[in-house]
Amino acid sequence: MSLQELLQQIVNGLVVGSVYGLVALGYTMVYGIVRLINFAQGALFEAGAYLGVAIFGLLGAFATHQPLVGLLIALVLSALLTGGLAYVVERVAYRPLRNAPPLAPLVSSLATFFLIISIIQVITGAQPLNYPQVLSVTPWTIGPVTLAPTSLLIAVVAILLMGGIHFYVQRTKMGKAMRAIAVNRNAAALMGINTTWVVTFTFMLGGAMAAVAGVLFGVEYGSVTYNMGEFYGLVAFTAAVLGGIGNVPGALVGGLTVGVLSSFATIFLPNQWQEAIVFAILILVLALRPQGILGERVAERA
Amino acid sequence: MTTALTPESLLAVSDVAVTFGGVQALADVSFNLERGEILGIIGPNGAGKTTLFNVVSGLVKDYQGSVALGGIDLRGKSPQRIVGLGLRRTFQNVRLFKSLSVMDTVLAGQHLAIRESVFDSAFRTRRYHRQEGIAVQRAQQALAFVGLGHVAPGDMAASLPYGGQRRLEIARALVGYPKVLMLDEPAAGMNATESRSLGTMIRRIAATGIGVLLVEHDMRVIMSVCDRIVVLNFGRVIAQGTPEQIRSDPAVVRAYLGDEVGA
Amino acid sequence: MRALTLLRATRRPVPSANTKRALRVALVLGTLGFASAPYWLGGSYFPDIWIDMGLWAVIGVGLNVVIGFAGLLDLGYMAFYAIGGYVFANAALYHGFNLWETLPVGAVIALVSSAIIGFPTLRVRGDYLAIMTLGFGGIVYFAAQNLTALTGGVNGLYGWKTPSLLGHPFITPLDFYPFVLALLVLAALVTMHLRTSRIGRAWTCIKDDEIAAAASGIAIVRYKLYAYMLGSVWAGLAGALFAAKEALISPESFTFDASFFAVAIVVLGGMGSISGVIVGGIFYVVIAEWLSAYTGTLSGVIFAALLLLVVLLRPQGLIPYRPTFDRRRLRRYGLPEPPVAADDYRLDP
Ligand SMILES: Nc1ncnc2c1ncn2[C@@H]1O[C@H](COP(=O)(O)OP(=O)(O)O)[C@@H](O)[C@H]1O
Ligand SMILES: [Mg+2]
Repeated sequence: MSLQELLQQIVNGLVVGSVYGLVALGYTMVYGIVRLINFAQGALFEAGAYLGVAIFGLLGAFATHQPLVGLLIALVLSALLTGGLAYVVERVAYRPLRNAPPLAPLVSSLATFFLIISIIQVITGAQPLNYPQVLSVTPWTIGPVTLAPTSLLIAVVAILLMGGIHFYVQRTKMGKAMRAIAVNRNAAALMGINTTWVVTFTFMLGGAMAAVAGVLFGVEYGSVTYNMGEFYGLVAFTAAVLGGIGNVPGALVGGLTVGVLSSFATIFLPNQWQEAIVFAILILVLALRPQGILGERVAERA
Repeated sequence: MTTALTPESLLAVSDVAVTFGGVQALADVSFNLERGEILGIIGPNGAGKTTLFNVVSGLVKDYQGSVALGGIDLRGKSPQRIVGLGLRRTFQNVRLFKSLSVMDTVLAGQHLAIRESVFDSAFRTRRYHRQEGIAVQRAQQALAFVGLGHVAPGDMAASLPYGGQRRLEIARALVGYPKVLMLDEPAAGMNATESRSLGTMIRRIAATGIGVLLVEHDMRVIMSVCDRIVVLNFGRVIAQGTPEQIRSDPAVVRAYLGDEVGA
Repeated sequence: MRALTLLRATRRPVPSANTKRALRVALVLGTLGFASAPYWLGGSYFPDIWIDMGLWAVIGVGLNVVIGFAGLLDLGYMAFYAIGGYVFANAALYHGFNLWETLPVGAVIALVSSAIIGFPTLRVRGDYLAIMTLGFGGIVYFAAQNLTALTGGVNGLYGWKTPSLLGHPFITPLDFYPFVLALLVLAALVTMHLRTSRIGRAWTCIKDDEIAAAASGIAIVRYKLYAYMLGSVWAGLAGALFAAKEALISPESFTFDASFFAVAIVVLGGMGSISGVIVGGIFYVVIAEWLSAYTGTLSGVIFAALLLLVVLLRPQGLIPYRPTFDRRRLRRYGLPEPPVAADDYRLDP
């Protein structure tokens, strides 16, 4: 294995890791404010990717002529629709269980996850669906590594969005409300914050980010499968925990770390074992440092 | 304020201090509790009484100073280890098990006393039946002692009225035959008659040699049952002595009795 | 007004002792009839289905210890089913072991591996546990696919000598059925006994309130570990029987989906309720079997939707567990004349 190969895997890992980070954001924000592992997040990622396929299909030839505009439309529409789906999930499967024993919302989010995934499977069958080639796949050569323009675009979009969310959580009134609820929901309600809406909005924001990640993921890999939400949902959760769950910059840090580590796995591990590395990271982190890399910064909770 | 510490005291709390973020919940708290003694802990809301219980029972681990039970330092010990050393408590906001019956609640309180292995339980050996028999009979006695002798043992713990739930919590603690029993506002939500019989019950408990730490806002209960009283204000001990001394202590009257009893 | 309500309360038709007895007899006869159905229905289709029902019921009963008794969400339960299956397959294939000699080995290995997994896992907070068990299930699935030397990879293991007992070979599903039934009865009885004993009460306490449990002297992590182990052992045994009956074991039986269905069985049937989770297991096989004729994935939609509905509308499940301390136990263990007043109390143990 050469240095060049190593650098190449770092670049690949950063690209895919930025997408993981975007999905992790949804886990981390929801967990931060309501202390729920929202299993549905993985399914929302998958739903977003499939909605992207549908939107590209509807755009038809337009997307071939205007690939960037087409991609933008797909990203925005898919994010809106998936945000709407996340709204439904919150209303139906989380809100009624707010005061139930902790196992109940966990099981209901698991059921929601499985419901969405199974519905997608019933509709599309078990065959992978192709994603349109949006941008040229001819890679640029930058020094020792190659990078496809699509990949660069993906990383840029994902990281800009995460920066935007961080800014949003830190600077806006809604962000302040989120942080207040994270510290103490009852106190926040007493201060006149509409906690119900803020929680719903957080679910929706997480869903929208998952959808963007889903479309970007489809564009990067060229196809989507009916059970991608299962594995990548877990990957993104691993990223969220690794970064420090409840911590917005942690989602990015965790996503990039998981991305690079699993990219390295393609060099060091035989083919079939590459996916197992994510489980290994997850279990090691939970057992050894459950608060994650940035876990100490509790004040940053979103 | 420091007290001469006798190391052979049943419970010795010395120079305990706790801070939560910026809040000094406890500072320089020291006192002893002897066998059969009832020590009242009083003070306004937020004075640190519950925090003191949490330190002693092992729920708050980050504290300065030391706590010793029967001469054994409790620092770093888990709550259930401390229970094993002979300490039991109740909670200010009653914490019963919502899916256990009244009888099972008191049986759960005997967890450390029941000697049956998983094998005994799984295959209902002779030992299982013997142990279960002893435990149920002890539970019946404890229930009668706290005034729940008439309650159907199969009723759910949560179905009892509030006062009954408080009594059940005491039964669950008492049935572990503790050396020290800590009661956090046991009379809260009780009427005058109920508090009076609660007072009698606490005296009976102490009469068996158990040392009782009693946090209570009802001054009639405190003044009538306590041997000694420690007064906390903003986490500090501002007075310590017999009920008579406390009643006439100017600092106490100013800080506490002035507002509460006078009102 | 108040008198009226009281009157109505007392007037509610109370089933007479005779009706009650008749109902109980009907229930017992119905259960016996159902359990013996493979014998009078004949063929090999029905015994096969009934074995499936029995195995899924055992899975429900075992996972019920973890979820229903101790309140721990385990999303990797089928890993232990896999471990039991592969232990049997290896023992049978390479060491010529018979099924009956393998079952205890499978049980012990399931216990040991659950202890190894549970020890670091159960220290983490309750909701992290769900994810961690999910990760563990994933690792076992990958191992089953890729540790070819032990598992035969994606093709699995097969081709061992037919198990036999006292010279009688086990070939048809009907040969295996009594043993599945026996395992189910054993699992149900043992877990029922555990529920009303020292360990079962400790689990309930942990499920309800960990702080109050610790204040009663219960070692939280240790008892969670016991729940995890004593739940997983049944999956190990069922997995071994499953492999023996199928004469084949391969990774596809242990996907995340399978673990999801196991959780659904427990929650749908009724957490903590042994009859509930048995009915849940039977129900699952009926639905899955019925639907696979049309489409394989629709059962996922149906079970996920049902699970959601139950959690939202009937969290206690279809056949709820009603905890109580019944009169029989009181008569058996209690004092002949229980004290009523405080003066009767003796504090010395
Ligand atoms: N877990 C905690 N975290 C932060 N602050 C706490 C915590 N527990 C208690 N406090 C604070 O410590 C102080 C003492 O509280 P407490 O011991 O409950 O008082 P009391 O029981 O005398 O009413 C209060 O200011 C309270 O807000
Ligand atoms: Mg208090």
